[in-house]
Amino acid sequence: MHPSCPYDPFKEARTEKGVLPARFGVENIPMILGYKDVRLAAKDYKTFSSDAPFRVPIPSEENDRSIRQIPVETDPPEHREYRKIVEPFFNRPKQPEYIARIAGLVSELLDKAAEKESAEIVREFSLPLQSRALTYLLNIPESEAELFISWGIHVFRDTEDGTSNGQALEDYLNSQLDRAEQNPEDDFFSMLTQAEFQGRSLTRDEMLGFSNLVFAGGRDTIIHTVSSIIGHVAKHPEILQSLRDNPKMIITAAEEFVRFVSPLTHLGRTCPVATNVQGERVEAGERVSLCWASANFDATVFDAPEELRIDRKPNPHIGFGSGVHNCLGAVHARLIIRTLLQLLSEKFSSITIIDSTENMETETDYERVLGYDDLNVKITKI
Amino acid sequence: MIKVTFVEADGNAVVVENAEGTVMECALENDIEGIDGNCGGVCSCATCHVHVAAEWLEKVGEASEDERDLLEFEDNVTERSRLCCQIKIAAALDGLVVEVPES
Repeated sequence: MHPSCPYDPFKEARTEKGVLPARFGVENIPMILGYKDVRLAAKDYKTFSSDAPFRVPIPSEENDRSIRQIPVETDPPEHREYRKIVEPFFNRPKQPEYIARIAGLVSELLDKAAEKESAEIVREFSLPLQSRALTYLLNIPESEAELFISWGIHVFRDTEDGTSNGQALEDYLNSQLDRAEQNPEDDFFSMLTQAEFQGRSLTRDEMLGFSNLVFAGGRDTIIHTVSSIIGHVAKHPEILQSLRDNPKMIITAAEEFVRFVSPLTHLGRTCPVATNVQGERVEAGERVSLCWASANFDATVFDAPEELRIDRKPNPHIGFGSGVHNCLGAVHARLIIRTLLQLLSEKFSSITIIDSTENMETETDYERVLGYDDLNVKITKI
Repeated sequence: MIKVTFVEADGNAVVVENAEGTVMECALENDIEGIDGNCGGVCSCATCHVHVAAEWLEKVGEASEDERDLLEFEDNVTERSRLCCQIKIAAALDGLVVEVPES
């Protein structure tokens, strides 16, 4: 299949049928593609349930982890109570000192990259940026990032031999929770050990469920978004000048990059009873996909969706999902993206690509560009 | 000096005396509980949902189609619902009252 836009391989199926029956391993999963249909399905949790351990991600993760991720793999009303526990922590990126810390980190990494004749952006820039920023989000020592960096781009699927780091992650999370129980501090793990749910403490599995999601959810997504932004800015040098001339545009540009990159293609929902999805029958217990990446290119909502317009407004994209499960880490992610765009435009005149290999998300029935495997650039200071 | 009153979900009223920009920006500057404005005003996040006080509905005007489409997916939506990033503060809105719905 050779789609006209490599970022939107769903165009034909979306316009013709609104659904793409797709195969993932042994599973047939109809992908819901239209903007409105995706949003309606995300709202209708009784028909399209998240209450299915390991089965919200596609492909499913039964073999990658032993515990249910929380709150993403729960439905209302429990979902709301679970989410309330962690929401204050995920709003910390709004604090001035947090914003300043992220600026310091991005600035340091950009300066380091600019010193090189050829700077590698995926593993040498985006991965350390994401990993070190994660220690700020969790409020743990920054030195912990070394371990996270060693796990690679996708915590469950990035080892040399193709095996999963899932067990290493669970061991690490257990050791952090042990430490927090004995010696609580002001970090995410300690908050979990002290939290209350329905009048009781959280179980260890619940604490692991929250923690596991933080590591899995915001990793490859942020890394692919950051590398995509740098690659795109390199190909379109006028973007940096526009942002320099009009710094207010950083806000709209950040949202447009989230729409355009759509770093999480889709998430799954399980149908508790047999359901008809745009003519595709889904048996009880089978899944559908809510395809954010397709919805974000729906021409009935976005003018010229294949164009990246840094001043696009309104921009009702669902790159952070839709409905009650919308991305918990969005405040943190937006801060990283806005800071990157701000510092790139303030300090650097141009980025030149030396060589690059795009990362392809390849499934049986579609293939889409998602960030880079390698991206080597020369970054030039003003 | 344009005055805007925010009634937070718990009934607490916050009066802003020198409102400017959009109602969302004004809410963020004054730390109004329940208005986050996460996407910065591009109509993506719906974290600035308010109910406009009935007597102000006519002056504030109706939501655009984009905004209505977004509100359609939110909770606690009434005929008085607006995303306040889309309400520009102007002299005609001096005295405006908006309520923050339960999140």
